[in-house]
Amino acid sequence: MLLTAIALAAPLQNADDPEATPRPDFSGIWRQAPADGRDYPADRDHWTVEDLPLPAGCVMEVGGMGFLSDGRLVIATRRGQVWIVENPLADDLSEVQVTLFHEGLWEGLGLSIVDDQIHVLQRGELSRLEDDDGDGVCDAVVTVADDWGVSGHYHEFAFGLPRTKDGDWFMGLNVSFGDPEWWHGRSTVPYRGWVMRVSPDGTVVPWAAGVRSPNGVAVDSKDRLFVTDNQGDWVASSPIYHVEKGDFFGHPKSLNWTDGYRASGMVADDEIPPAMAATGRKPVAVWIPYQWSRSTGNLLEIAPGGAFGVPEGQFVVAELTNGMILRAGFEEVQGVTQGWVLPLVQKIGSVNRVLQAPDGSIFCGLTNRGWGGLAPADGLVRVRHDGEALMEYADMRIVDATDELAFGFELDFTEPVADGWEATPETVSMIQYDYDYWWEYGSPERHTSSMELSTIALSDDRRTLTVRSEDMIPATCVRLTARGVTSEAGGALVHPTISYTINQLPSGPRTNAYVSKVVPPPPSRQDTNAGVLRLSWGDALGQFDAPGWELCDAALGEDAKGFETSIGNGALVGTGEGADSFATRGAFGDAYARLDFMLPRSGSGELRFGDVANILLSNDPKVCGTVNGRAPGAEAATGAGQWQTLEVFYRIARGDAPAAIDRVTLNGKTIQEDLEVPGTSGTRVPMVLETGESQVALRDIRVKPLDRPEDGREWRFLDVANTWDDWELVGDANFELAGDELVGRGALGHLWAPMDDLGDFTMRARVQVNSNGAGAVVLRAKETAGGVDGYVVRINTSFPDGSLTGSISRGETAAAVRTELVATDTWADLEVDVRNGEGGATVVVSLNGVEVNRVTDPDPLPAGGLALRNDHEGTVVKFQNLRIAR
Amino acid sequence: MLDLLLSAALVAPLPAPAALLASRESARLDTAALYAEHCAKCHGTNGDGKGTADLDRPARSFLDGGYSYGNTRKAVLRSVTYGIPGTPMPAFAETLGEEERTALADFVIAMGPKGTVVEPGASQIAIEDVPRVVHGMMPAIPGGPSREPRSLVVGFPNGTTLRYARTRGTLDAVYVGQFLDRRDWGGRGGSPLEPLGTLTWKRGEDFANADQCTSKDGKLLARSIRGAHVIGQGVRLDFTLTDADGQRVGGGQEFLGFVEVNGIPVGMRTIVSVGRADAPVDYPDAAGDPIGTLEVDGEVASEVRRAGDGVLVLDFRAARGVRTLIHASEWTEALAEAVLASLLQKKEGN
Repeated sequence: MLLTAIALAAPLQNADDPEATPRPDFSGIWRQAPADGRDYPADRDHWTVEDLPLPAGCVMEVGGMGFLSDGRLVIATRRGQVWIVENPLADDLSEVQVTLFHEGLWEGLGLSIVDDQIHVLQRGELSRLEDDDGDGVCDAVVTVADDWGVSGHYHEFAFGLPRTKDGDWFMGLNVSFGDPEWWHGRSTVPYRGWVMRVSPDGTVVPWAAGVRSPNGVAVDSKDRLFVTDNQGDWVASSPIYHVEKGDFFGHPKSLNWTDGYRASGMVADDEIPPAMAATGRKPVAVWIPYQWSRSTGNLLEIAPGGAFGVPEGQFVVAELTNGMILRAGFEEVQGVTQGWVLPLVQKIGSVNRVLQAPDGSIFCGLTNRGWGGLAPADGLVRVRHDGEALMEYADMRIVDATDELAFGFELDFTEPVADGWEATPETVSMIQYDYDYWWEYGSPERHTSSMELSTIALSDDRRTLTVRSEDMIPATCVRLTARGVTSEAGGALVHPTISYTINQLPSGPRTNAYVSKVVPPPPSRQDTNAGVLRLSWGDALGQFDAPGWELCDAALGEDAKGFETSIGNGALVGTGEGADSFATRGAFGDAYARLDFMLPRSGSGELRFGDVANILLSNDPKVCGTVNGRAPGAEAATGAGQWQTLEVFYRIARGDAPAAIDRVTLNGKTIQEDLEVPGTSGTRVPMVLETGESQVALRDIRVKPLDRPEDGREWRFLDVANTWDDWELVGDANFELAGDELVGRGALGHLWAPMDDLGDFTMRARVQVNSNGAGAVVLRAKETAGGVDGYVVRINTSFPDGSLTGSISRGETAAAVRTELVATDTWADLEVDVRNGEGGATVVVSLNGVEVNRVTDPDPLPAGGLALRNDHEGTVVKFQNLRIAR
Repeated sequence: MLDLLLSAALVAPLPAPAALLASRESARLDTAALYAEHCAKCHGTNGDGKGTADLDRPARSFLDGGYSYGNTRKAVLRSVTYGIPGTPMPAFAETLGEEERTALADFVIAMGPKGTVVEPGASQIAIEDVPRVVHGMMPAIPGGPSREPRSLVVGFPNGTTLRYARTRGTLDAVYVGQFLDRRDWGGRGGSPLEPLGTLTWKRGEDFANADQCTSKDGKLLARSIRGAHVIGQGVRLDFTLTDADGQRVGGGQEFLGFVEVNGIPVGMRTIVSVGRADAPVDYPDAAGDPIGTLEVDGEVASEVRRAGDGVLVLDFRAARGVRTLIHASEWTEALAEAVLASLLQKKEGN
């Protein structure tokens, strides 16, 4: 069948040979005829592109394709329909018949045929479609698997659906996006941003994390799993991943569903790279250059036989924005998968899915609705090679250095290069670049530079080009262009430029670096209160050990080392005897800290973050912002008597990763970046300002903890949704479940959790309260004649009763927090630990991972229950992710 | 001051009619000019992405129709308003008003290829001769169930639509009329389906989980619908039952159909539930006294009780694990006859 198909294809017309068979007239079916004025690249001389005719009213937005054993093609669409195409390989397209098998699915974006049974991956489930009575119409939809989260967000696609040799499927789950922060991916329900493995019995196993929009999922003949992703937040350009179990590819939001994050309550930050981004990501196998792909579809491994003009074992990749298919190849270098990519056939339409037919043709399923892309926006296209030889890169591989020669590449051509072409720096050039790993949408190519080629040589048989360069380094991409190359038959090199991703060089020390490199996050676009502790708001000194400091107004005075202070609340200044140190009570791990400071004329100070960072404050712009002895990279200090803003992003040591100061800015200017600090203790550290003999004025001190303390305990999640009937509401409040939030409103009331034996334990939850609202959690709670007794921890950002979030009370005894640590209508991570010990029961409250209050009750309460409290009318108090550990 | 202003106004001549017209025209939005001024430098004068600005990566070609955040009007307007930080695309929130930005969004979208079009009415699914089952997201019902992403919607030729929450196995609402509009066919997709019928019943607290199962010690089991089969004019739903620990303890089938009473179709759900030998399953007790009985050959086969407003429940003494829910308010003789006839027909294997 393969040979017959090739024989039927007409040879290229030779204008000089009157006996040559005329080239078939494709104009009727070649809808992008040159007459419409578009440029058609050279690859269209070698492949034909035909639209398959569709019945009236059929809009085929292709999500999945597969062949039945009788050769019929089955198509799943985003409209929830399944179509059957008869005679899909017919040369006479009028023989193609398309009929509807089923409709009523929820956006099928994956299809698999197993023993002629059709399986479709919908958004909410993997389904098997059954035709019980054999009439060609589906009668039954059976759920095979659905064990993943679906919140209803419009972007939560489920992509698939290749099978392994042992019969399991792989699928990918798109993240959702924030609202209103639509530029940030989200994983609010289980396993969004993951690749999942599904067994025929319906068992779903989370396989790998860190993906964003894994639109293409493929398993090759070696049972390797490849997944394409789409450029966006945290994804510099469209990548192809080689996926193995346990991999993490970089999009942080999926980490929310790892055991570690679940246990600690940590939630991946929208803007700060997660700790494991430094060394815990799996390198991307192939980065596709932006000009070739902006939205990648699926990929397939080319079958043996060469009928498509592509060597066996190489891959064809769908691309819908630019509307084409690409070609890729992989190799293992020092145990890491990497490889090359270049265009294959362009100007097809919004190709979302590719499937190779038994005769070697490639079917391209189109759709771009909601995403945009090259027209046509929908349909089914058949691409066939004309069977003729063409001049193209056949393969590319990295080659090792020798004692005399640098690292390099060998590129094979499909045909010998014509005599007369010479491999010189004028005909062959190569550039290298890398990317930023950050929360913004994609990344430009960074550190782009031309590479000096020390070797440019064509082999004796003129089929292999070798290039070498001393500039080759790992963790970069390269793009090579060979100009003016033609075959001996006169065919021009169809695609002169090819791109290769170098994760590792063939020999030498392996690198820990990535092509997509962690960089300090760009300025935030969102509400900057999220996750922040406002340490000096309200009760400005409540969260500090600062003997002799007071809240006042400060201005330059006569004393060169001090200020004139007056009654007010504009500044914190050490005015008392021995007031030479100002320290937070809380200790922080990875954090973003900002503060305003002002120096007197001869003022100076030293701001320390444990053994990680030591930052000098000075009126000398050359000195101010010196970190660990390294002078500032820019002069940004403004001088005595002026308020200046300092921001510090830092990380403590963790495992093999050393501590680091990611960025320091002064008055908005970056003065320090990427400073590794080896040899530190890895302990959580307070922030300490040493002022020596000078005064320093401070204000608006805010810290955003970027991690949570490690906790190896087993946490029990209070699965409120599934135990709702067991929760008891007492009082005049109204609690309801809204998605994954528990919301309290109304007057005073308690919602009791179904447990009453909580003695020594820790409770964690995300909490939020509105303006003038207030609520609480009550631990070791018991109903008494007088109401509810227990350790009450307040959730209150603004109601003026002197007891703000983090305050602890029991009856008349109280340890109030008067610092406005957390903003209104802002989620905060609350942890309360109650434990009997020497002196009584100690209650410790932490917010966002930092201890903010503790009290010891000499008359401990016995074990009791857990109640959530809504305090008064007008309150809207919210709880999420409630869990306890003993 | 006011005197001066008034004097000035008296002195200045009124504009001639032609000038007035000209000023009105110039006040109308000239989107092409806006594009030329603000966008062409990067995106090209004709939107081909080949502008003159020196950028760190190519600007979008509007002719090709691909956009970073999607090609809907809302998505493009957002990009124009807020920019795409990290890329050379700036924000125009400060420099252009909303009307101008919206006009630009429409202008650049129109440059591109026509996307997939939903013909009027094409997204509506009609029921013809046989029932249909649809998977999708259903919207919240005021005062009733919230939005349910994993809904299963069953439509019958007689105009009745049943809406289930598939992973909870609950019937959440009944509609009568046309079937569904697939609103997720439009735009970027992912929208809830739109039921076209009139809501005639919604699940309320008084329904008391009458279609759920309990373990032998009375704890509610989790019911998940795992299959929907269209069989003739009826539909069979297959479900599993799991306990609080996530262990599968049983399953069953729910048969959906109708009996006709005085020419009016009355919905019937017959649920057959089976537990493990060591973990038999049951149904929640229907509250209240019986309001009637169903007799077979003179013997009471089942008492009839109310399961909330508009639903009657029958539990068959001879067939443990079989419960029938009938969407009717009153147990009449005609209804009893119709139900009996239907059950006997089933028994005879028809």
